[in-house]
Amino acid sequence: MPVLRIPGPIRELRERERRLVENLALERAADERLEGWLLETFDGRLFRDGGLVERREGPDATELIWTDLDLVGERGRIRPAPAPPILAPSLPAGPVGERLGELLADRALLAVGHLRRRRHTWAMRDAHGKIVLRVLVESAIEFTPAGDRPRRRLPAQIHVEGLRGYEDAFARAQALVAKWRGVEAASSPFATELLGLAGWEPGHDPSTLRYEIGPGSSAAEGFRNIFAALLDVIEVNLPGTIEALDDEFLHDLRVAIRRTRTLIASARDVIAEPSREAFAREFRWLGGETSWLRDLDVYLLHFDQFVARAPRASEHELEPLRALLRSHRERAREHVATVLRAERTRTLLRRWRAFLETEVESGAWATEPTLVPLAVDRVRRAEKRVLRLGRSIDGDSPDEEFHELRKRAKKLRYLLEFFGEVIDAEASRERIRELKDLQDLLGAHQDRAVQIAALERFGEELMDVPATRASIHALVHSLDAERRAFREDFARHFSAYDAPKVRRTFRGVLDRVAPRVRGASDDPSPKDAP
Amino acid sequence: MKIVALYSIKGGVGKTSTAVNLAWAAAERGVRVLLWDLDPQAAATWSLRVRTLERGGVRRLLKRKRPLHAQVLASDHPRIDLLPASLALRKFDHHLAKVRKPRTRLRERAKDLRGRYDLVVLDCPPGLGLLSENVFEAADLLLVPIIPAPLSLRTLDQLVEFLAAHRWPALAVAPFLSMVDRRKGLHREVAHDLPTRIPGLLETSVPISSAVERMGVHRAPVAAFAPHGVAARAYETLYDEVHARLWGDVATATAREVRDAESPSS
Repeated sequence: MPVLRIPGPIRELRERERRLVENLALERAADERLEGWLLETFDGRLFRDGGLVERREGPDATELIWTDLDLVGERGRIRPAPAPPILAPSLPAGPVGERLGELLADRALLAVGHLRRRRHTWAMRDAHGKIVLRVLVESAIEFTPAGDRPRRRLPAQIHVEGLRGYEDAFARAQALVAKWRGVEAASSPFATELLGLAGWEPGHDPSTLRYEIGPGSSAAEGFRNIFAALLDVIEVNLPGTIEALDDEFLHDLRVAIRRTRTLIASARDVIAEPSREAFAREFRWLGGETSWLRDLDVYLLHFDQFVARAPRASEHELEPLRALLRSHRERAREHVATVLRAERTRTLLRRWRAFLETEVESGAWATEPTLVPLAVDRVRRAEKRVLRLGRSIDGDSPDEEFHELRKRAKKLRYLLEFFGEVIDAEASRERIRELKDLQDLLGAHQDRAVQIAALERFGEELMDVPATRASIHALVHSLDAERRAFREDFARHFSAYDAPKVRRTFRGVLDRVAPRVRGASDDPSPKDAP
Repeated sequence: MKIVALYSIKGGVGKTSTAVNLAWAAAERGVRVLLWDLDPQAAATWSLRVRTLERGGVRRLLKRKRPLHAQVLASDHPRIDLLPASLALRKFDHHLAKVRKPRTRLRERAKDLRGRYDLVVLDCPPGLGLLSENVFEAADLLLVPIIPAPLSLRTLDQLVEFLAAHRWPALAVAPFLSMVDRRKGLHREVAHDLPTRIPGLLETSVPISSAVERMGVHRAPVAAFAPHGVAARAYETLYDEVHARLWGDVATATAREVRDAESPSS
């Protein structure tokens, strides 16, 4: 419902309050002291959905209040309130918890800051005694952002809250406010101000890449800008990964590392060779150190699907496996936290940042070529590698070849995502869509193969639980059947991607944008292809 | 989103008071509730002081192109909204008979409410007609108040037979004792024997109470003016059972623990 927010100095607001009370015949409805923690996910999804959560402390209970962006209208309450970071499974069962849990998905609710305020609520009633409008006057507002930022005292504010179906009353209040000289209603909701004070960009996902490249950019400038954006994403996801706030921090960190590696591999002729090779090696190391934890996160995330797949196994029989996965994951988390805090990681990121800030003329970067021809060349080569390998794969090909094809397809997609806007945005998006179907299949196949290997390993650790071992065996059997089905399906999906008309269309776009580059580097060596 | 209908073939058994108080109990648990008053008496509408259905409102309720949500009015509770009624609803069956798929129009219209509410409570008029069939099609749970007296029990039997014989053998029906007067021997006797006789009978029985009668004076749910009385507590417990039927038991137990901890008597 509509809310008019009018901030201002308390003395002025008292006078305005008095005028509203008098002109609208308001009755006092409530006096409250409210305090609690504002919560949001790291990627700003609550704000994008039009709300925020407050973990409000009351005299007898603490509850989660899901509100609108002015922290006035309510979307639901949950009691009791778990402490942050709050993941969906920890929300109490019930419709509001379910609704919020769906929105959260795999992200945690994190503390943004502590808010304290005093609220007087006034109500306007109609002839039947029905409330048709509320005026909330908030004063003594103090906000302490989570982390190191200082506590802030904020101006008092009046919220005029309309009620659905009683818009006339709101219009009357609006007209009254409009007559006040020197008064401006806030142009943004209260949540925007609070998030900003806490250093958050409302509704923004910090893992979204932000960089600028244009058709006229040099290759050095283009690559540097993308690398810098990727490094921002790596750095911003480090604390959440180290503290294991939710699994998506690690996921986004790994994607940023993988993309960095893809771009480094494509940066021959852009970055001077000893440096390029050194950074490639170090990012390969960093990516490798996080793989096992990510695998375990995924196994546990999809554990219930595992249970459903093992037709004769009960959830009870597979519980020892879940416990074992959790125990492995704890150890893996500690390992990853240690790696991310280690000097080697800090040095890599510090040096990489410094490298990205060196001047092009320093010799670390090539001054030629321009971006677009080089980007087209890299995309062309990557596409060729996908097609060459894909055409050679048949039903007897080993799993490793499917895995290699998956890696090549991922690299191609990343390059299209990086450079699509300067090559041909629409054609690039279309090619990515065509590639996605193939990637989904290769991913599903690879996941099954990796899961089978891991389950066989875990099975050996559960020698003393025969029922669980038997269930694992059934599960492996089921996963293997799926893996084989995906292999059988491969030819169909690949030929859709490799269809001559589709392929020629894209090749035509590339040829129009840039002729083939003479004297360009050979394909990246297998060693630094991610 | 779940839909609970307060329904009985008989009138005067406590449908409206239960609908209003159940909506309140749900909202106090943090749930977003829409109370849909389908009774031309508009007692639920009146109890919450909301404006009655406007002229032409019945047609708009049924028209596919008009968003149902646009006709919703806010109550005084931040988490209860209302689709109001008026005497015009006496012609609801007549309007329903003129639309395509008349038996499922309510269910179809209710889809417009998904994502906006967790719980829709239908306060239904007594009787058995096309509107009732719409309610049976739409509801996830039929909550049937029965006064502990032979005629009421007969009416319940008739309802259950009707549902089984027609399209709704699988509709979840939850009868509960309403307006129970423990001073009356007949009520005590029937209440004692019923659990064995009626499958699915809810454990909570709502006592006859002056507080419930005073809802008409206060024009508010009992919990708003007599929160610690037997009636208010009965409706809270009734909601706990309804919640468990709709969403499972965990939150019920949790909510009860929190509520008991907050109670002045604990």
